Amino acid sequence: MDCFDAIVVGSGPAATFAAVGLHGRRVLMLDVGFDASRSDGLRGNLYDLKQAHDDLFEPLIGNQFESLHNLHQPPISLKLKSPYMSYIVRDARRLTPVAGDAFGGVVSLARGGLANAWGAGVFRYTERDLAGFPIMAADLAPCFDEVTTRMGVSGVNGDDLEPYFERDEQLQPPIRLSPIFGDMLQRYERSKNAFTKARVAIGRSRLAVLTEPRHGRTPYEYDNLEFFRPHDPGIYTPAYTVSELIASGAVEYRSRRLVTRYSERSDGVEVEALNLDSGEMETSRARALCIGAGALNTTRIVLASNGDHDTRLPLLDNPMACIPLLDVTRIGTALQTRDTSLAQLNIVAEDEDGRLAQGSLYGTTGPLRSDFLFELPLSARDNRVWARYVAPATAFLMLFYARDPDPLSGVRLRTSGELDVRLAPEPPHAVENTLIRLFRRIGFLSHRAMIQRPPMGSALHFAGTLPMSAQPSRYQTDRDGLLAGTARVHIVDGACLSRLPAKNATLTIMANALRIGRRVAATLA
Amino acid sequence: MLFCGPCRACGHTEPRTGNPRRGVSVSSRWGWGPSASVKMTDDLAAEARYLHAALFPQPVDPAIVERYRDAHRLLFAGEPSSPLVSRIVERRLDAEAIEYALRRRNAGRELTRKLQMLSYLAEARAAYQDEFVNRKTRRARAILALAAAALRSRWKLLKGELLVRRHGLL
Repeated sequence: MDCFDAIVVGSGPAATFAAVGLHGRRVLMLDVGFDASRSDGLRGNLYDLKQAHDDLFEPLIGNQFESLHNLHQPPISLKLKSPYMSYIVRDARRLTPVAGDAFGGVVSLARGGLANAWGAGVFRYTERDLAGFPIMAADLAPCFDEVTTRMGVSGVNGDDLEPYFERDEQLQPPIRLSPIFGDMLQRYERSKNAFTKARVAIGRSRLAVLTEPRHGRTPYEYDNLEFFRPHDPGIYTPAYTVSELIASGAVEYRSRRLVTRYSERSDGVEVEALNLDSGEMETSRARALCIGAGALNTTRIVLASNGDHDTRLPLLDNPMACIPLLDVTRIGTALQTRDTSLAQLNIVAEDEDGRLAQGSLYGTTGPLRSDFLFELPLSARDNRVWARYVAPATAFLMLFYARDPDPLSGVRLRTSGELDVRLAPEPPHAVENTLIRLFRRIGFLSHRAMIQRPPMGSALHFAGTLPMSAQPSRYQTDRDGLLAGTARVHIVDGACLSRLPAKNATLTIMANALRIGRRVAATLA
Repeated sequence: MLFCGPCRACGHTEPRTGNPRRGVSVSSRWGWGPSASVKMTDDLAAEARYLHAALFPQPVDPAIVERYRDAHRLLFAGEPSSPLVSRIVERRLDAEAIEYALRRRNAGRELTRKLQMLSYLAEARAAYQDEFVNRKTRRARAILALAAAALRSRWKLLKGELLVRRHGLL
């Protein structure tokens, strides 16, 4: 049997950058790797297209009525249900089933993983965020720089969020602000004392979105198509890097392989994968294994490899709250057709106990109006009037809270093969009242009764099932992601995070995977 | 023009086209076999046209009716028809008012779902764009429209509550 230096499982943010870190070694990447099959029908701006074409049924609703998913299935993110994006969660429920009460999460078997539909927000974990980890910010710093260089990140240094984001000398200029967020930022500057006193700061988002050409990719075009068109060249996805790795021969990529388990031998690791085309099990062999299949699927592989259907491992995900904000002065203003549904501003709020909450501010031009029409407070026809005139005056603050391991949350592998997932609900945080009061002060109205709380798991920031520890015990990992009790099995994705700050972890996961990949490469030398 | 007695009493002026099988549930009418399938298709088309009139002022686009039927065939093939929706269509009741009243009570999910489906199907059509988005700044018109919508919704809620009680729809 052919023996590789390393096998990388998956092709999401972690697996991709672990493979980058393994540069120079003979690497096999095993991945289901579903990819977008259609998207040619969408060129131009969403709202211009809607006017120019009598019918956009195929790209907006889908020949299989993909956009109606949430009318007859457990709800998923609006982005993941649109016809050309639905490949991201294709067959995931069937091939990697997850069960749990009031669990709003999904997993992805697509090339590039869930990051094909991510919000592209990039946050470096700082020393404060890494409290409880066996690694320091200095360990990650060079990897952060390399990852952001590859992706291209836009944003600004020197605003009120710099202490939170940290300085980045490679930033491209930030994306253009919509008028509503330009107003919001100006009003914030005028009332900054009140915000500072309440320990709340607002600033420009840092996004893995190009505003200038880079590495053959074109800048972002403000076409409102983030919900409908995959592979926007302006928005980074790990699928781009996977393609580069394949093209350069840095990895041997085998798609349509669902890795089910591994077994360690004295001189290597054997990995079993289901070939989805032939239905046969295949075995591959390497000197080291890096599992980056996404925290839930990585956990599934580890538990299955140990034949363990009893242990419940810890599980983390950021609790969320969505606060609508209404600027009454903008009611009746025209739709911004050249706009974005990416986060335009970020907000950081610290409560009295020193706990941080992080929020991203979004506009309303991305999703279909029908997605939220029946969530509005009036009758159906009148809600359409509301959507027509009030949507341009509405912003959404998506708040994320930190999460530490708790005894009520966890994941277990059932004998049926389903992952049994439990995530304890999060009570409302007092910081929400503070934010509503502060936003009211600058002319953005909201109310506690309008706050929506998506089901736990909806953030899709799963982590912490196999946490890094200075002294790892069973189902924990060391600072290099090496799984306790193994000599060659490394966990490179969110599963190895020790805790989950209120920041989107994707950039940190990428940087950490790159770091681990490098360490593994060094041991293989 | 015929008008449904109970609806006229509520001020609802949808024309009745004269359904000879009024009062018989759709599921029992569908039965089995090819003729049942044709009947189901016809009923869904009638349902689409009726619910569309509750949502939009313009005449229904035939493509929407066809897709409404296809969506039911594809997504809800195993589901029995909704007695609530059947009753609303057969009795020519005000679907918008009833949906609003039921939605406020966290009930009537199947009616909301069907209206939402029609909304999605319409939103993909250029002819309906002005129903969903406002391309020119019109502040005064917006304020007036929103005030009217708020008042209209109050009326629809009252009417919906009345219809729900009178017709035992909960």
